[in-house]
Amino acid sequence: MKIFQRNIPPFQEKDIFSPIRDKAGYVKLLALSARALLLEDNQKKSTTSHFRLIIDKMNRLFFYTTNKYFSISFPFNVTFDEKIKKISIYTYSGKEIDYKSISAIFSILQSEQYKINSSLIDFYIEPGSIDADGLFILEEIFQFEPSYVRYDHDFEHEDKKRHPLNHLDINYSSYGTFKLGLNKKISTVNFENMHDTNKDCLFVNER
Amino acid sequence: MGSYFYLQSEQNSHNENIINNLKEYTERKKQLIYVLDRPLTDQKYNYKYSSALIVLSPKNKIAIINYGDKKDDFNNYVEDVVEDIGSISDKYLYKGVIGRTRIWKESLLKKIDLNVISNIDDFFSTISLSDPIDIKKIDLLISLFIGSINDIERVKDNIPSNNLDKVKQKIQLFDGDQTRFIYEKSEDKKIRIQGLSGTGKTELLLHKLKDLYVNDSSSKIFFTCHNKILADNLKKRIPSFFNFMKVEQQIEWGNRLWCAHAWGSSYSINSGAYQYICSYYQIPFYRYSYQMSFSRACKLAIDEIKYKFKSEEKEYAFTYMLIDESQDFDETFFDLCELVTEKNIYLAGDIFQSIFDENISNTIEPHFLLGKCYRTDPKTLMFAHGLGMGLFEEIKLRWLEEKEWKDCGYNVNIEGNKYYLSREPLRRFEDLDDEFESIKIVEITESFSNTVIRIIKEIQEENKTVSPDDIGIILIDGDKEVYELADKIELVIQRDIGWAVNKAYESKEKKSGTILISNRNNVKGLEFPFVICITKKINNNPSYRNSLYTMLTRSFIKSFLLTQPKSLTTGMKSSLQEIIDKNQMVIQEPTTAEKVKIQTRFKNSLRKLSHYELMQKIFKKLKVEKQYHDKLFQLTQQMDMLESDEETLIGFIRSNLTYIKK
Repeated sequence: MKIFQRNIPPFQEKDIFSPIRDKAGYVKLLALSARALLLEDNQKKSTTSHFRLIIDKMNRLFFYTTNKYFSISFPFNVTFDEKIKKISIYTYSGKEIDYKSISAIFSILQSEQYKINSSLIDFYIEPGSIDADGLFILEEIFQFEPSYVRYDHDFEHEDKKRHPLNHLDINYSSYGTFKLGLNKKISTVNFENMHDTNKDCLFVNER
Repeated sequence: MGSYFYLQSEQNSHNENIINNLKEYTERKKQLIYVLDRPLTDQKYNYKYSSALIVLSPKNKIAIINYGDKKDDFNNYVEDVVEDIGSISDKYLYKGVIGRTRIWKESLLKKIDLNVISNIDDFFSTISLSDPIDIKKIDLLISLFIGSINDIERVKDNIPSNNLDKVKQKIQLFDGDQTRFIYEKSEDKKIRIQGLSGTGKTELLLHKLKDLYVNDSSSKIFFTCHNKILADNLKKRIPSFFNFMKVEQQIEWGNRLWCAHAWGSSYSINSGAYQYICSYYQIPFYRYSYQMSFSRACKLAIDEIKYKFKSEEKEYAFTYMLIDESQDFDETFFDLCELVTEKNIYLAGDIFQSIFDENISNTIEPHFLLGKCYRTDPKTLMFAHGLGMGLFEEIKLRWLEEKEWKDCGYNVNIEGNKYYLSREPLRRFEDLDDEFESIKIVEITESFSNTVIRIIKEIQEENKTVSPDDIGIILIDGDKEVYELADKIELVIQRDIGWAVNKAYESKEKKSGTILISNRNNVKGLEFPFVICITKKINNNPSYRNSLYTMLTRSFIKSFLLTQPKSLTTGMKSSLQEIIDKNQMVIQEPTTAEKVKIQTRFKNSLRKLSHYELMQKIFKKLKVEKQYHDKLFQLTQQMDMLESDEETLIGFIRSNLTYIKK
């Protein structure tokens, strides 16, 4: 099992913890996390938020802040060279996720062209100043399953069994999301264990 | 006539003397003087009395000189002019800063009879001003006379204390050349304006556009350039410029005014100049292909139009055309424009978009040559030119002849084989201290990112009002590592300075409230008070050198050049010191043999092959079998060798080929 951990400095919290609404949001979060993994962990000061990448049978990112945890899949190969203390990230087909391709991904997702028509086809027809590497990597990521799971401990919106104080949100789209109520707070360890296919799974007691 | 003097008045035997004296004074003092007979703004003011001259010059009262004998008529004329300036000041919201006409007329305007002026120096000493507030008001009043309208929100009514605000709030006035471009009528149909980047060409085109649009109310105008992104950008700028200039007419897009790139697509007739022309005359439209260059498409269009409309019966598609970045086109496009435009075509081009352009003087003589670069301090510009062209090195990369230097706005003094090159100081920076440094080399002693933080803190210390928008960080190197460096700098800026960061190569736009970090490809048209340029070491690649030059000149207060120790030669450093101390570059002229070498190398670099083309050439040369091409090509990509030169690639292929073949 490989585990990589990074602190999330306060100025990045907004970007990382704003809820995912669509596939592009998932990709942006993947790219942000990949960048944070590549950058040396020079945020030595302790922070209220952090994330962990766990690679085992599962391959997932876990994000933690006060009263909120969530997890998404991280479908990349990650290697760590002990000698030079350097992380390398590759897609399953072998394309490198480096600083440059991460920027290329952002430049596509943030472009007017993509906002008007959220398809990559126009970039093939009229590449403009878009980096082709980013395009190929995006094609690959768009095939992945985001596997989004969020734990919420939410006083403000608590509403009996419709919106229990402690619950899991599975999936992000409004048409596919649903909640699983929890009787009590879940610890970060249990949150990770419940995703770990090498460990016992979480049981739902039917109401 | 030069950039210091502007005359708009009939010259006659009565005023000839005083005009010549003023001209002489201008040249001697290098002082901006405008001599008018009426306000130029909006071009609608006319007066019965014609024996008077309005003499405007910064730091001096407005002088209205009477050379006629009708005292009452003269007084009425002065009253009328003052009233009209009052109404212009009201229109552009200047009143809050310059005050009521009644007041400034008393303190900032002087009526003089010509016959009391015996000596021009004495004349100026009687009208000179010393109070900074008055001096500011005079600049604003001059700008109202000549239509060089400044945003009053930016200029503000106070007298700034730090360098940043001094330059930001400086009132900008058109110089003589610029004023002539806007107001002078020309006999020629094609009017060319040329200058280095930063000479205000696009701004002038916008002024011209506004003038044509407002004063010729049935005109149809097409504003175009080669690049689509730039055209989109211009299209966004026009409405805000028109608002700012208080244009009351609606903009009738696609009816009276177009702004799009030159080619266009077949989907929409308004998407490009060529596309519109094709559909207007109902002639075939060609799309880009390997067989169809833009030049060829234009040539075909010209033939079609000439064939279809034999002489008289043809209507014109446009009344005027304005073309920005005209150096991106060849003459056929201009010929097509000329054919379909009724009145004038205005072409604004960079004298050399790249300092590695060939034969800059051989281009057609422009009507207006803008010698002054208004963006950058002359010292920064000189150093950037010198560094870009390799002038401070043993082997120079580029050499310009005397006329070419002059066209670029240099004063040239040749002694033996030494060239002494210098530039006139700029009004924009005249309020700054003499010791003010506009360019600084920083050899790093810690990491690049920490050095950047130190510089930002230094800038903050010296300029309390600095905001994130005021600083641009540009990574000039062409390799992959710049992206890592940018991400590291982003992190430390957020952490240590607390500013939001915008990486221009991701967002492709400028965002307000953020500090901009960019690679060398995404800064076109941007300028900042402060620019931090980062390069690991100086290399000889022409496109790199050109970026170095353009990026260093993006600042209008100060450019920092960050590099590793020992990457700058002593020659470079001592030349910078010479520029700072004496405002000049002293360059040894290359020998004839050296010039030939420079030319050849230069021509080779012009035939710029893409990495792919270069690899194909090498494969042919080394007789590499086709089956290995792909593999080797991929290898060079993985090794980040896309910018390597032929020699390096040959070596790389030779040594790798043996392994691949096994």
